[in-house]
Amino acid sequence: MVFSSNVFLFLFLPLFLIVYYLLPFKGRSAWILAGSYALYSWWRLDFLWLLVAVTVVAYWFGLVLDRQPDGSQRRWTLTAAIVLNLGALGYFKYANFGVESFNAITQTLGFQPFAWAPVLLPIGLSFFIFHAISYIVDVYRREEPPTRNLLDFAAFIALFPHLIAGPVLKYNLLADQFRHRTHTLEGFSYGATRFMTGFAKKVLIADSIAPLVTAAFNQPNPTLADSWLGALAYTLQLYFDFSGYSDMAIGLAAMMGFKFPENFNHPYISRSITEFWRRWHMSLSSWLREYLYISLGGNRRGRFRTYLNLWLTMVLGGLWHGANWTFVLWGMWHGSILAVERRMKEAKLWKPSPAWLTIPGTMILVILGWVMFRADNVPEAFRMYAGMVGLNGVGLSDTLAWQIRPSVIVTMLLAAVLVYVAPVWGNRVGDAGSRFLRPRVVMVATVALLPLFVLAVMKLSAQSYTPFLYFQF
Amino acid sequence: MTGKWMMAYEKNLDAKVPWRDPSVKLWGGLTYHLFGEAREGAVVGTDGWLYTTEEFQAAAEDTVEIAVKVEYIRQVRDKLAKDGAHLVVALVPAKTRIYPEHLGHLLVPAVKSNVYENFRQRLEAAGVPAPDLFRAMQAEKGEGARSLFLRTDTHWTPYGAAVAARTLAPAVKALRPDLPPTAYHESAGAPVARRGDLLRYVPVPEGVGPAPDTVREPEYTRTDEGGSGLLGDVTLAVTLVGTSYSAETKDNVWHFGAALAQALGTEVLNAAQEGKGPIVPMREYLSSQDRRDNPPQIVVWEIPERFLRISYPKE
Repeated sequence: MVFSSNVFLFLFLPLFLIVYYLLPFKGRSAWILAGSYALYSWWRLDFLWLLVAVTVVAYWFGLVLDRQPDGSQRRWTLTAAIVLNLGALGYFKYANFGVESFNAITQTLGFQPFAWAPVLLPIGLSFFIFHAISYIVDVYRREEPPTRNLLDFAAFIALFPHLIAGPVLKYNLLADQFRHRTHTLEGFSYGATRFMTGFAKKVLIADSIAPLVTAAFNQPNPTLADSWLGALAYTLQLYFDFSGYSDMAIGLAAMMGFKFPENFNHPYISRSITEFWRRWHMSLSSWLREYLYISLGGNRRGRFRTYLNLWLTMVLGGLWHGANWTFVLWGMWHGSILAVERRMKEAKLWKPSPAWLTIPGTMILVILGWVMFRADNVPEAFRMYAGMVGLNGVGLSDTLAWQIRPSVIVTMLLAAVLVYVAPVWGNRVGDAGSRFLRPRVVMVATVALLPLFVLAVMKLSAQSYTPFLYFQF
Repeated sequence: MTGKWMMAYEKNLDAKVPWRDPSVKLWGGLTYHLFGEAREGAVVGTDGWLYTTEEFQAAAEDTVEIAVKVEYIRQVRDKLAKDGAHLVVALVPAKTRIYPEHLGHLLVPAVKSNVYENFRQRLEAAGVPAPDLFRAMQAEKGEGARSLFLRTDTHWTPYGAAVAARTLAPAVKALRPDLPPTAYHESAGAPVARRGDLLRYVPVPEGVGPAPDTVREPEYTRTDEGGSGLLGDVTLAVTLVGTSYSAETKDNVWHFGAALAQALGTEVLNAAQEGKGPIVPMREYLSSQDRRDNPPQIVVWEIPERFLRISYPKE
């Protein structure tokens, strides 16, 4: 069940919230857990055991690690806990990829391929494994005492706003909120507004652009115009899709009195890739920094090792996104740029440059990365790169031209305007009394969200209508 | 356990929410009026003409699929030949090929320009007669009463079907000059408004979007003394297999089967089926009781050009 669906919006969410607010505080964690498990089971009941197992194992390891004195035995316990979690992630997420890659090598050497029944990837696995690991490591580092309350812990791991697609949260961020949080009308209204914003971003913008992206990436020999149009469209689609989802998650959490940290901060105005990673998927960047980069030694083991750690963190972070070489290469791309930027900064080669130069420059690097990220496979990405440098001609292909809808181009333009106006808007809202924006204007903009939300709900419904296509066969 | 029921429930809920129809109309109206767009699946041309997007689609794999189709047609020809029957293919050209002047700014990809003629020539080279319906239709092409395709539909008009039937007749008669003779009289019904299937992609209130077509549905009446209508007791020498362009259904106002019977001057057994494309009806016909009961001398296989690139599940 996804947030942008009728069943979630009009059945699950109202029912969940009504019961939630009727229950006393001490019953709410149990209700959150029940609701979250119900939502997960809606996808597949037979994989709920994995979520429960990851939760119980992390809880148990937390208690064991707390009791053990510092030393090698404790390190072994931590290793076992992490190996177990990564083992589950490895088996469900990467086994197919590993076997396919292995078979590709053995077949080129003339050997028989290894027979393998593909494994199904449980939804949200990458997220709840990361939540569990963050808890275990925090307890190991004695940054957080282990919880004795299995119910609260299970509710944290399964909390439905972040269960399927994040944000990636640390337990200590929410531990106190499970013990105590306030529920106010203002908080609920903020949550609802935030949810509606995310919903509109996802349905009205990201979903509208998606068909053009698919069409452009499917071009066998994309031209310069095809590939840049496709890459730009994907750049906008991904941002509005993912930040829209994060808005919805933050909004849903706020409706239950939780405060989630922000996950995006206008990433497309970044002036370097280093800054981009401080603004894009911030919860993941911070998780990778705290649990991977620092565990690899961070910047404590010399200059070269620092660059290598940065690079490795991004490569593994890339692989976390999916079992495909495209993600590995995307991680390498970002890791390499981060290392170069760090080197330039340390060598004092990094000169402050004007925004009109650094923002587009950074965007080009980001867009080139997104092409690899979006492509179904590496050859497809390189077909797009060939197109981007004009190796297949310049003008639009006639196989793509007929698929370009004026409404999508208008949506893309609006989205691009939003990307660059929103940061200014945000600043002005903070300074609502300024001569540019009176409070009334801010209020009107907020009220305007409601019809936008209704329009998005109607678009969602209209999308589900498929004309009878008897003549397609 | 596997979420199958939940998915079915969600689909059912999506279809039944009370705001579904208003939403479809609102978004259909907005995109049509603001941007001149239909829903995905159709494109809006000029002068109220609509086209299916299938006629624009192209992929690298099309060449392979088209070769598979030629090979399958050859196999069917051989199978029929074992029983002494001949195969004639009625290759229906795409609507965009006949009426490109109403496409406005839209362009059919150049890679599709030779698909019809190439396929037809490959069939002829394989020894399967495939009369050039494109050239014949282009020669007869007009607007209004002489329109060959319906403006708001994927299919041909009764006139288009009759032109195709007349073009096929000499090829069929050349193979079997001695078909059991019958005679038909054609009369045209009163003109009626008919909303084409492509108007489903422009979900706007009636009177707002492209105007429906006006059609005079023909009626073919047998005038000789033998038989009792189109499905009389005599053995039928010609069988028509194909798609919705041929199948006798409630939406069919073009009556290609009857037009073919009239053009051939013999009865035609219509084994065409709607909604299954050209391959599946042929597979089913080859193993059917119909074929055993009425061993054909000629099988006319109607195949629309836009289906050539679509792959069908294997038997």
